Amino acid sequence: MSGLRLEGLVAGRGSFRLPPLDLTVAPGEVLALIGPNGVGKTTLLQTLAGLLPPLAGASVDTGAAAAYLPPPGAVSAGFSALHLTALGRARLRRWSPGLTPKDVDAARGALDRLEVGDLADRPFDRLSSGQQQLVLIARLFVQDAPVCLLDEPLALLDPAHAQAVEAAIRALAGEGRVVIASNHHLPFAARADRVLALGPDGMTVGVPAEALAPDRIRALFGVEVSGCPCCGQALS
Amino acid sequence: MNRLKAALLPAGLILLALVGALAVMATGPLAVAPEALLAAVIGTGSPEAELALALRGPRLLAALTCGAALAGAGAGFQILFRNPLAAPDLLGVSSGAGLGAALALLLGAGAALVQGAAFAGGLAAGGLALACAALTRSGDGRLALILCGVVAGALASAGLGLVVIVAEPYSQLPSITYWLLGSFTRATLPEAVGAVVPVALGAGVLIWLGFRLDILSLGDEQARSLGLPARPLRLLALAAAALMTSSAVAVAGVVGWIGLLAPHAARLIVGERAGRLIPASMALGALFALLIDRLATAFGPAEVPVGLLSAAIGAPAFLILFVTTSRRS
Amino acid sequence: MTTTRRAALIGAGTAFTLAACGPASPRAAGDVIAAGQPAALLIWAVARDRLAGWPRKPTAQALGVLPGRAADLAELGALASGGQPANLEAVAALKPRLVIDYGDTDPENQALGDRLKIRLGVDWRLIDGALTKIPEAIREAAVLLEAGQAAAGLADEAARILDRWRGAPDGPSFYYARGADGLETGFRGSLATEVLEGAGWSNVAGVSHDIGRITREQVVAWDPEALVTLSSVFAAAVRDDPVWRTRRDGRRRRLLLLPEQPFGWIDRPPSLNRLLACAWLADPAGSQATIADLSRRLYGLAPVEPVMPQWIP
Repeated sequence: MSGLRLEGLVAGRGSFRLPPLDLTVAPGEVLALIGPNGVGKTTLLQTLAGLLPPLAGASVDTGAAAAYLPPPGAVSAGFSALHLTALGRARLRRWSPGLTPKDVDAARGALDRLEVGDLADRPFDRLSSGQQQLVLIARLFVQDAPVCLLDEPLALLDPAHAQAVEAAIRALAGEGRVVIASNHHLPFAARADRVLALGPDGMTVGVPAEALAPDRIRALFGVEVSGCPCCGQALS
Repeated sequence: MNRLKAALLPAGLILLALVGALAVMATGPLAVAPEALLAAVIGTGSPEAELALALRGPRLLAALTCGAALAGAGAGFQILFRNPLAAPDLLGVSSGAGLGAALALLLGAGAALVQGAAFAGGLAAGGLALACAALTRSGDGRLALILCGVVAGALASAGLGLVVIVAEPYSQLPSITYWLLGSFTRATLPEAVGAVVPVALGAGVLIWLGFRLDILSLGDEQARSLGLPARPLRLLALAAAALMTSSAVAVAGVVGWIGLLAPHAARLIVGERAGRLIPASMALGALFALLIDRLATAFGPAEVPVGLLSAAIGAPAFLILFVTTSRRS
Repeated sequence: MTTTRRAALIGAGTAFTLAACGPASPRAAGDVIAAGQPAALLIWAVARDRLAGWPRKPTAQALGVLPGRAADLAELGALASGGQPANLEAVAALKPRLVIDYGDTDPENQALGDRLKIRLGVDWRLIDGALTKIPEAIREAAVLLEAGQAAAGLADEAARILDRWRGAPDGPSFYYARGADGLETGFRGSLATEVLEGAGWSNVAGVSHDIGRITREQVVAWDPEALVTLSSVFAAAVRDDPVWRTRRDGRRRRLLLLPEQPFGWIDRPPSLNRLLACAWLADPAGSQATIADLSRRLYGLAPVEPVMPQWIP
């Protein structure tokens, strides 16, 4: 799979603009996106996903589509988790009237891999947030998009599910995809390959050790902490 | 649910509808034995049996087509809008069709022209709603569609009110009133067959869309993220549903509640997936239409308008269904 | 749509239309108001100068065979039930001296008459509209309208026609197809089919004693010998339709088209116009002269060749 290359991409919406972004992300890399509320993380992710048109510049890649996952709770469906996962193969089924058994098997395989196979026949709406999130990431596996953009994937999740989701995100990247995930949970960012910090005074990209130094955290969030501002965990 | 059983259920319902049709075919004011009817089909029947066939065949075809079309369109709308109260009249199609028919009756047109005018009126109202909604650039478009549909329907209703006032009270007004109240018996064979074609086309489109409708129901954002051209597909689905609804109203008048009730009942049997829900709804809609067709002529020679029957039976049935499903969950 | 809602809509529409058209009230040539279309025909036949306006203006086709005065009279709407309601204020502005209602003399209509008499402040007379009482009705109207001898001649002619009609030979079983699609009918004993039934024709439709709507299959089940209609549209539509024209044993069903201009021969409205059908039923072959004469007396114009009922092959 190819990576992601951005040249002078200016994301924005209406009168709201982000600074231009030049970035190259290699396949298999997990990029954590951090920044205060309202700074434009969702806007940037949606622009990278192709859901919003960029105000300038472009993402130069081999034209592969990007998959976008909204925050937990945004997706609601009455049919089974298995069917929702199988829908990930829609792109392959341009003209056929239905999903093939192969699609369903792939979906089942993805669910089993994330250890939620027993939820396959339950209605999606009846699952907990954590379970739903795992199903949606299983769908990302099935979808096989080279770039995966996740908006706050760990929000509202209990520690057990958060851990499972994080492991799943790494597995996604492990198969050669580019994964960009926005997050408030800084230990996650600390374990990512690189951190893209969106602040009121601009964007910086760097390894976690640099990007998560206390003075950078103070400049970004305006708080003085030695660990994660939301849970206090130490940042290794 | 067992996969095989799940796939067979819609087929089973369709079979039930066809069996029901055959059963109803043998009923009517003319006392004709089923064997005589069979003989008439192959052309060797008595004049009486031929008459019965010539009258009942189109009536049944109209009932099946109307019921299936409204149910299928209703199911499509309910999936697309994720709204359990979405009915085939969402885009104002029924009101537009009624206005078309009323205008044609006002101008003294023959039955075939009235049907054509109703069809055109329904498509015009639906098209107006879709065009107005397309002008607004709201992200998802669903709220805009509902509002524009309400406006189109209201305009058509106002036009209808005007026609009613202008109509000649002794002959035109009763014609218009009875046309609007709905009847399966007035269609001739060419008219009934003419209605089947658009309905089959629309149903084919909706069934082909199948899983794509499920994706569209997740919202535009998700649909595009999964690689689907959301707006064109949604437009296609809405156009198919409008086509089916227009045909149904054109052949039988305004018959309500089938489009609301059948999808709900079907959902209880086959689940939420569009690929199964749409055929199952159509089968249940056809069955419901057969039921009210049977009842329409069961109370003496005077025909009870099927629009009244569908409301009288459909509304309480919907209430019961609604209460039991909400109690379950 | 229920009658009250329809009437309310129509009333509202009339009121607005009249209001929009300005306060100019129609120029009345007479001083007697007809409460409904049947009464209008009675007044027209007995003393047409006294008629102030039509409850429902006859169609352009009908006006073509009526004297010019008919076209000059304005449409006022009906004070009694049936058809577009009249604007009471507009009626009162004409300063009428008398209102005549011609039809059912049941307590309901009497009460209506009493109410409107008080509201309009005008004398209200209800005349029995029964077919067999037409001669008496004509005489009563002649007295009220001070019409004189001409009316007496009409009453006598009416009595003679009714006598011959009562003695008419029996006719076929029939189904009365009302309206352009023919699915509305007058059941046995209704006002609409009284003329045919009284002449010995038997009405196959029997549910209530009124108007009702049925299905084509029901007509086939009843299997009448003949279809009777006033509508040329219906006649043209079913002329070659096997479902309507084939009887249960395969024979061809007869189709009778009764004249409709200026007013229907049996039904619309249920008034003196029905005498024409009575005359014809009494003697289908040789009544042309009687009908021409009767037309002249009733309507004021004598067509050189009156339109006669047609059996359509």
